[in-house]
Amino acid sequence: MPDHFGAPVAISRFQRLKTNTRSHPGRCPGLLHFAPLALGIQVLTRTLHRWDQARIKRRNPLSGQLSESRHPVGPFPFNFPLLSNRNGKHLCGIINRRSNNSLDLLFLHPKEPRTMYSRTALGAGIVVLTLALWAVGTALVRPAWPRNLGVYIATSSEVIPVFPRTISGYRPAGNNKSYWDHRFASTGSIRIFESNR
Amino acid sequence: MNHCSDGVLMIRWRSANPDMRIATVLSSSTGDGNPYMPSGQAKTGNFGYMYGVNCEQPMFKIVGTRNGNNSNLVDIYYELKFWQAAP
Repeated sequence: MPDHFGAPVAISRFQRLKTNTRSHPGRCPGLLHFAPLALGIQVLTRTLHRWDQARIKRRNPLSGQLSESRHPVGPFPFNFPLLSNRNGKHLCGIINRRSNNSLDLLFLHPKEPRTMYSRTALGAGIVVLTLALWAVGTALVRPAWPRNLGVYIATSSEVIPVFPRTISGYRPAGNNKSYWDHRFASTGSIRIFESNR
Repeated sequence: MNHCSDGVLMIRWRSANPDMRIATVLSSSTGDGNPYMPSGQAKTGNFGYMYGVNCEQPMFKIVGTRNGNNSNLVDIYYELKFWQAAP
């Protein structure tokens, strides 16, 4: 599986990780499939300016050897070619805290987690709001079919209630069938002529 | 027992011409040769729906026009649904 560095990352490497810091599972959906392997590690989401003292590991795609580069103390260098994401603000990864309090960064998620999380929440909110408005609008505009027998007048087609799917004590006749299962056009038009009767 | 609970009907309808005033009513057979008697008070409009039993049927009648319309006929578009008695 290629990582953010363009080099393959062995999943088994994750199993060797032991120590961790705060976890934010759910902010990195792309990493969730590692969760069973990550019981001893945690998925982190951090702002880059806190990621000082980090050591970045990458595997050479040709030799297969791991190499480390130490991240300088201070704000994250956004021009760092291996770690800069598109927005240059946040990266998502799996880290290992060493005994000397340095961090090994083993995997970087290419997507910006906070933005992704916000977009998910925003999308869910829009869907919920749309459904709520649709339900309210439908309830206000189109009434339910009446319970009482009778003749009803509507002000427009939009407020003519739709047929119910069930009514107590009856079952719907078949399509284009009358009460007695005779053929009957259930949709159509009739022409009415003016008369004095 | 008059068997008027053997089924129910539902109809949704609208007039093709909004300038025509349409009276609607559910009518039932009198059983004495006369075709039908209204089973309720007619209502007038261009859109509507009815809910009746199998002894009734929907009826429509032109009762006037609006906006100087001189039409003497109108089409009614309808949609029916029949229900059969069930437990």
